[in-house]
Order: sequence, then structure tokens, then C-alpha cells
Amino acid sequence: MNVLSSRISIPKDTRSYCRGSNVIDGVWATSYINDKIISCGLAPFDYLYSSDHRGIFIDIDILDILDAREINLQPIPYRRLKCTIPKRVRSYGEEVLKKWDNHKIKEKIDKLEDMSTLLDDPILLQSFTKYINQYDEEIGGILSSAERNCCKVGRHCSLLFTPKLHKLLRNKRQLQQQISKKKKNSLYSEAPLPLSEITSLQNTLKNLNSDLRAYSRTQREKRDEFLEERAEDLRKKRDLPKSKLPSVVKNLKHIEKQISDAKIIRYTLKTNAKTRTDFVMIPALSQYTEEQRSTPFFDFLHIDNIWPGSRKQMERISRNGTMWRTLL
Amino acid sequence: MEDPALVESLILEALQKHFAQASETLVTTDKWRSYLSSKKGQEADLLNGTVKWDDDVPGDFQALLSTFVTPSENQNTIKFSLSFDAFYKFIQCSKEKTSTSPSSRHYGHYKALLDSAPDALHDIFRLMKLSVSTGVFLHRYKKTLTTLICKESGTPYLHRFRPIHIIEAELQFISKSIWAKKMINSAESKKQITDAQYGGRHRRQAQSSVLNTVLYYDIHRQLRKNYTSNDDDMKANFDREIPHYVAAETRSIGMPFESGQYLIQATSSQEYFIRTPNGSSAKSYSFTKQRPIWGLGQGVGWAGACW
Repeated sequence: MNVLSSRISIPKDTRSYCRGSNVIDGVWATSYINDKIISCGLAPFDYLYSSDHRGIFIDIDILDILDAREINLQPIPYRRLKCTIPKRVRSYGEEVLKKWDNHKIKEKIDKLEDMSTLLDDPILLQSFTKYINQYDEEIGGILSSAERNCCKVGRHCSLLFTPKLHKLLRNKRQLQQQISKKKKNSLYSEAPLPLSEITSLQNTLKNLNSDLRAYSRTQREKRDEFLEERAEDLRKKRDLPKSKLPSVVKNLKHIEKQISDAKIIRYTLKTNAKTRTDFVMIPALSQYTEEQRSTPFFDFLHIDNIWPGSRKQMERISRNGTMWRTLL
Repeated sequence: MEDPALVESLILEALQKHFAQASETLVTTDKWRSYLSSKKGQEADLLNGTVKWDDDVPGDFQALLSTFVTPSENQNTIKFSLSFDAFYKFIQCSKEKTSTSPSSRHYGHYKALLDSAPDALHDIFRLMKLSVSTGVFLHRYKKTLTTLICKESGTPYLHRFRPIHIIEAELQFISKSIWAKKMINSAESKKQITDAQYGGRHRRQAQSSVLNTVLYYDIHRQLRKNYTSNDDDMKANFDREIPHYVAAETRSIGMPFESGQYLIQATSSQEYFIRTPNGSSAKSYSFTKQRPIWGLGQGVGWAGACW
């Protein structure tokens, strides 16, 4: 739908093009996005820069669209800190202790303990409440940042493997090593920093990164090509008929797609099967008695009617063997 | 109903109604709530039995409150304090995969600190102990996430959900260490709990009663004797416990005044959010004078012990 016409009433003689007579420009959005638009309008001609069209602005509630609500309770497969992996626990502990010292948490709690003996004074109690919550938040921040840093999650870990990706990543690592070596050497020797060499290496790295980005955009096709090549090689090696291998490749592609789809779904839902409540059931209109339905302002979506469920609903459940007395 | 916004608002409304079920009882009135949670009301009148009832107090209610009378040597026998050893054991015994802490401080953090940074764990304990000893309730403890389990799996009727509260791991430790352990152990040693009470007790687990019932049936079938059994299911019992009443009643077992105050503060200051695959709900509900909610809730350590 057109955002401008749906949200503001535009006077008849308004034009958006300098030689026109009405508004010919617009912003179109789905109804979902349209609901999240806070304000919109037409700017005057030549506002901010010269143009024969008027500017159109919309202000969207980004937080509402992107769903800023966090799912803090992460199920164990999505946590970085796992007690079954000693290496992560060790680096987590080291990180916590380092930050503990930096933030002087011990000293802060000592001070709070001293303060707690003088809490008869309401002003002191107020500041004590403020500090105890502040330090608690600080500790929470330290723990969660240590969890984030306890293991490195590779950037390209989710990319589909092909020999081309392997080559790109290997070249990138080698280039990064060369740059850091050159920088380090200049630190320990009196020789000046080889700026031109470093710049050329950095440029090559830049190109490599753009290649990697391009690879990620076409990774599916590249993976399919790679699988077909491998199949062809195998066929030649084992002297197999042509019809047998394509079906194997087809199955493999299908399985890979299923795995990647399942990963996306699991990551999006991030919750246990037990706690999924993405829909609820309420008694249908036919389940209410005539008497109930004839009452003025009867709304079967209203909670007062749903709670604790209509009589017929309970009877149906009892017939199905559920203990209906618990509903009463 | 599949529209997330509508599902959220309906569930929140339904839960508010669910937790307001105890509102019809006499104890929830302002007069009785303030009386039962006051030190004077608990000690002078109820525990020592010196109360003079007004005419408007129902006889049944008088009889119920008169059961709180306790000899002075049995009063305040339990200390409202925490120990690091208990906290250490609690973390050791807890499972990493258990969902806890709406603030994302899951058990994994504490379990990792056990070996890698015990000093940091001790400091966390010190802060928690300070909050308990001074009665300053941390802001982090005030958020509860409620997950819903369908009573009939696969058919999520709005009025047939079992709400399970997920609270902070530290608050869970406080509730388990003081109410579920200290209080129950003291009551067991003084034989204040009847033998027929099952659930959360040593050698009297919830499933033991089911096993016993099956055994009775078998024995009577073998002996060909007549047998009648009557099963009653309490509806939403943990969700109807009134903290003010619990605070007064637990005093008769030997709990101190502070424990009751902490329980009342903890339950009445909670802000309840629901958790669905769409994330935590944006809206929440909490105790207000206009729409009061009661209940210690399932999933919290003190609910079973106080019941």
C-alpha cells in the first residue's frame, strides 16, 4: 500500500513533480511495515538539494520491526560456555579473573559490607541499594562478556566447503601472517617500517575479502558444481554407468539442504520443544449455549468468556477421558 | 489463534486470571494481609495465642489461625542466613542444561566458576548474602519468565496450561536453601509434618505415594477384600498459596520474621513475562492493588516446601 495516501490526507492541488499537477511519487510498503511507521510526509521543493521532485520522508520504528526483544534463555546447544569443554571453561575463568581485577569487584564488595552496618540512615540505604544493583549489573556484564570471549567462532564456519573456499581462506591467513610479521620485525629492529610493502599486502587482503564475500553469495551453486565434479571423477575412476552417480549426488544435495534448513529453523526458534506455545486454542462459538450467546455484548474472543472454558468444552474433554473435575 | 500479538495478550490475561484465583479467600483482604505480615500480629497474637477475635471473624478461620500457636522455645529456631558451602553444593548438584535466570546468568556460568575462578564465585555469594542480610532485593531478582506446558500435549487450550516460573539461579538457591532445606529439616526433626505427607521429603517422594496406592490395590485384589479409594486433585495449589499467610504459618515451624518478609517482598515485587518461540513477551503483569495476583508458583524452591 501507498504509505503517504494511507497515513496522511494530501490536499488536492499538491504536486510532487515540479511540472506535474498531483502527487506522482510515493513509498509503498506492506501493511505490517505500514503499521510501524511513526511519521511521514513530503518535503518542500529543493529542500536539502536541488531536484525537480519533492523529497518524501518516512520514520520507521526500527526496534519494533527488528524485534529487539532478546531471548536471554539460550538452550544449551546455542551457548558458547559449556562445562563439558574444559578449554572453554579455562579461558572463561581466566577472562573473568582478569576483568574481576580490572573492575576491582572484590574491593567494591568489601566497601558494601562496611556500608551495610550503617543502614539505619535512609540516605545511606538508598545509596547502598543503588550500588549493590550497580555492582551486580557489572558482574553480570563481566560474566556474559567472558562467555562471549571464551571461544572464537570462525566467521566462515557456516560457508559450504569447496576447494576454492579452502584456497581463499589459506591465502587470507598467509597474507595476515605476512603483514603481522613485517610489523613485528620493525618493532625489534632498527629498520624502518616497510610501509609500501604492507600497503600492497593490505590491498591484496582487501581483494581477497571481497572474493570471499562474492563466494558467500554464490556458495550453493559452487558447492553443487564441486559435488558434480567429484561425482564425475569417481565415475571415471570406478568405471560406473552415468545414471547411478547423479542420483547419489542428488540425494547428497537434498540432505545438505535439509541440514542447512534445519539449522536455520533451530537457530530462529532457539527454544525447547516443550516450551513452544506459538498458538492457543479457545472454545469455538458453537460450543457456547444459546443462552450465553444471546447475552448482550457477547464476544467469544473475550477472556471472561474463555475462562475457564465453556461447559460443552469441558464435557467434551471429560468424554475423551480427561479428568474434567480439575476444570471446575 | 495464531496471531502472535493476540496470543500474547490472551495468555497474559489468562495467567492473570489464573493467579488471581485465591482472591476470594479472606486472607487476601488488606486487613488480614497487613495483620498476618506484621511482627506484632504474628508474635503477640498468633504464635503466643493471646489474640482476642472480633465477632466478624468466622469460626473456621479462628480455628485455622489458632493452629499457629507455638511454645516460645520452638519459635525463631531457624536462622535466616546463607552459607558458601551450601551454595557450592547447590551449584555442584545443579544441571547445566536446566533453564534458569531470565538475565542469562545460567547455571553454566556458576559451574564454570567452581573450578576456574572460585574466588569470583565467592564474591558473587558475598553480594547475594549482603542482599539477603540487609533485605535489599536486587532488581535482577524481580523478573520471572513463565513457560507454559500444555496439560493435554498437542492441544494448547488457553485454560489448560501449566505455568512454570523461571527465576534467577541465585533466588532459586535462596529459596531452596532456607525454605526447602532448613525449614523442612527442622520440621522433620520436630515431627511437625504428618507421616501421610508425600512429596519433596526423604523416603517420601511424590512418586512413592503412587507406588503405595498401586500396592494397596494389588494387596486388596490378592486378599479379595473390599476397597474404596477417593482421589481429589487440588486445583492450582501452588498458584493459590498466599505469601502473607505462608509467612505467618511458617513462623510456627520456627522460621524467623525476616524470612516471611523476604518471601512477601520477593513474590509481590515480581514482574512476570511469558516465554514463547517469538521470544519473551513485551508486556508483563505484576501485583497491583486493582488486579492482585497470588501464588508462590511452580518451579520455585519454596512453593513445595511451604505447601
